[in-house]
Amino acid sequence: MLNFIMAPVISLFLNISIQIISYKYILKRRLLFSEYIGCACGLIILATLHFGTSSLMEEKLSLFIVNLIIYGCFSYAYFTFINMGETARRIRILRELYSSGTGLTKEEIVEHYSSRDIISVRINRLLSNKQIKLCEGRYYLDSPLMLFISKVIVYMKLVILGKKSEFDR
Amino acid sequence: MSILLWGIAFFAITFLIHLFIWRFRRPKNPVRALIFLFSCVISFGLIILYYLWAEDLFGVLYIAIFSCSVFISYLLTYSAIEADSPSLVVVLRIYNAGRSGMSFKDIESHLGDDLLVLPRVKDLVDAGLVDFDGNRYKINKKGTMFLYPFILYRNFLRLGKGG
Repeated sequence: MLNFIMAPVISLFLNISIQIISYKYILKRRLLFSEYIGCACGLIILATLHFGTSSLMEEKLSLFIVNLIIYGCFSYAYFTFINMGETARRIRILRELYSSGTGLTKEEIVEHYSSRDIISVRINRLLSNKQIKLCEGRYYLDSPLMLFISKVIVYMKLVILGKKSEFDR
Repeated sequence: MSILLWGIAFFAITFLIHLFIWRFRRPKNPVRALIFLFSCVISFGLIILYYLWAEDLFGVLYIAIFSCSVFISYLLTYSAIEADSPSLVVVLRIYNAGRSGMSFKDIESHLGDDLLVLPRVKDLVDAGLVDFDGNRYKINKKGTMFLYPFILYRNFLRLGKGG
């Protein structure tokens, strides 16, 4: 039983190690792809740790399903940690305040990190991921994926918070 | 399979209580409230299971790990649900514009600092990560501790400031 409990932890550790190594030395600094590679390798290791043992097949299979969910959740948490550092406004504002030493006024924060910067970075990211396209100075949707994610999140907001946006009353 | 079922049950109980409370009054610090709520449900549930399962420590430990991993995932998703993501707002705006599309100027109109930057600064103050003296915002010890893993990780991989 102890082997099975440790399996998702070992898989996560290897996921992180492989992601870092592949990002730094193999994939020429492609962050998102390195996350996929790390997650896939961790998954293979998880399956090997389960089906390579001599336990009963029924026990192996049921614990594999449980560990698959645990591993999925751990990997999602690691994925979110990386993406928070990459995209979260709160982390960026904290970094600006940390670098300033003496703190910043509202105006200074906006000077370092404005809404225009935020929108420009996101539009460039959406363009490079082929989620939107630019034709004659106007932006159009290029893929339904982000739209689907946006709609799911709006639906979750409605269920949990009872409103579509944080600015709705 | 009982690990899976009990783990899902503990999360479902927490989620339903959270949904019920949030509908009436959203706590000032929702993340702290969610952690408190989940801790109460899981502690109570695990103590009962420990005696019901004739003190099977491994089984109880497995359920604890399973429930915690699902809860952590939910907690991380919750912050994305609570605050409007600028990327998702941009996508929805372009979608709503239909065949005529949108210019950069159209997209950034109504998305000023008051909507994208200052509410996040307020979140940091409410979460106790930043101190505000009426004029200046200053990161405090808790905020620095929270930020360090991100700085260490991003410096190690030579990633930029992000955001």
